[in-house]
Amino acid sequence: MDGQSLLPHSLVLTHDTKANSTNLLAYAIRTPPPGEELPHFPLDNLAAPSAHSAGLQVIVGWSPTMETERTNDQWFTILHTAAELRFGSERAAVLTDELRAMAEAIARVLSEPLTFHAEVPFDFPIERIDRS
Amino acid sequence: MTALLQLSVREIPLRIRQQELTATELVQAHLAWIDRTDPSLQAWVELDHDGALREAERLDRLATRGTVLPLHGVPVGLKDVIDVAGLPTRAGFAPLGERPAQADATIVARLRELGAVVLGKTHTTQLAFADPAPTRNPWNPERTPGGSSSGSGAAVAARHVPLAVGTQTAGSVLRPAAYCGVVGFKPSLGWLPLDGVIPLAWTLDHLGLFTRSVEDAAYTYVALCAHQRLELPLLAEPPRLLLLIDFLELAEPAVAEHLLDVARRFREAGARVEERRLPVDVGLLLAVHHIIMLAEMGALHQQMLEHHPDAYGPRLRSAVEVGQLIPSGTLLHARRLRRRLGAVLDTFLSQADAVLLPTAAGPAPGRETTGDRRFQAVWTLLGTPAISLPSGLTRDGLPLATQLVTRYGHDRHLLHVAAWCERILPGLPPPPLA
Repeated sequence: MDGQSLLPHSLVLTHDTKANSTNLLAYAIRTPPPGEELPHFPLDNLAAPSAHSAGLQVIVGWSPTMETERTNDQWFTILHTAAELRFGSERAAVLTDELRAMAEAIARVLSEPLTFHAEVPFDFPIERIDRS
Repeated sequence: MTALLQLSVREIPLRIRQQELTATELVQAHLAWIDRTDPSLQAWVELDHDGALREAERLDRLATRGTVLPLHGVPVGLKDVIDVAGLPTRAGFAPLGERPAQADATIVARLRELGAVVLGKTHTTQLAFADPAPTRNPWNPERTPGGSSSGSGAAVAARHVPLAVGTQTAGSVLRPAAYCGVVGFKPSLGWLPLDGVIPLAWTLDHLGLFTRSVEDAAYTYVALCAHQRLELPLLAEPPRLLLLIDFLELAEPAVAEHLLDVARRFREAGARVEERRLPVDVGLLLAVHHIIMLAEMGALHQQMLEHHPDAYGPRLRSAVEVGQLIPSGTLLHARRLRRRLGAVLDTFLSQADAVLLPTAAGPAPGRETTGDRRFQAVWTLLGTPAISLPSGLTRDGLPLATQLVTRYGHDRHLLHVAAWCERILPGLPPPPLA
């Protein structure tokens, strides 16, 4: 299996690049022993049921840490798969460069942790005041 | 080319007041020059000869009665994403059709109140994004004039008009200004309401001005904002400037060398110029900008893309499609970072009168692109005022430009600093196509 990566928090992310880069993703909180081959889950048989039957515990919920630790390539895979599903494989191929640029941007932005609780809840105030 | 085409925005109402000139003579001279040179330049998508001459005649009658407005008789071009009553807003996008706009955009109404004469609509890249417009660069027809306000930049450089209006969501005012060798001024975000302007990414969209001098930009800005009279330069002493090394490292070697020479000139004239790095990674700022811009574009075009996918240029369509794939949490994260980074950079910018950097990484590239937006997009993201000054020519005769940026909301101060800097820089001759 190509593209396999192990991330902290025992996140297992599998990705079969041999199968046209589209077979992904299962999140599970089990770190496999060294040498064990991970199961992978084709897109049409994705995620929870397969992962569960494979003996992996499927994550329920969401962790910002997981998001920030995804790499550019992983984000590219996610975006490319979404593009194929939404716009078809032909358009997804056309979008490759743009998807890669966006994957890098997302990975870069999510690597900056936020402290939502410590910041005022608005994003960008617009004032029409010349303070000169 | 007649001397009338060289008049500045500020001179025109003065000459009309002194009865040395009529608005009709001025508009006729500009329209004749456009008719002669625009077939090769292609700065204009639509000219309103009759409407412009009617308005000039009305202004002449007003002047006869003793009323001369701040922009009396000044010919102006408007980027074709800005509504002008009676003219279609095509934006280079066929599905928008040929139906004339019912009303002027606020910026246009304000310009008319001040006495400006709308000559017509200037070419834009499709919907103000990145698919090149047909416009040529007045300095070299094989080079891009920049985008997205391609026609506005080229029209001012070619002496078609002394004043044009554009929009900037990444670098669409400053970059064409730089490539065309004119002044481009992007006031702070929210300077004027954008109603009547086709949006690209609504939290990033700015209006901006193209002129041939800082004085004209300042004069127009003050008139539009109804501020008190602004006399330039007003700096009590030479400015303190921060030369941003981050951007020198990103620029082509010739451009970096040029900026170092510009900094040397400013120092010799008394300015304090210190080399500094931004306290924030430029790559992070650009990533935040990229996510917000494409996410907003994706949302804006959701329905239009479904109905008219083939009407989109390749770059715009790709950006819209990718924008529709951005996770909502990522967009919120980017927006929050925008605010946080803005606060950090506001503190940084408060340490000097302005920061100094190239407007673009290099001179105008070929016409297959509209150029590199990195040097302008950072300031668009933050909503800070930014101005581009022509500051030299390459050996190939292409314009080079220097950018000044200051804190959000300190627009007039930036204009004072730019006026000081402009006096130190060598002026450019008219471009060959003019």
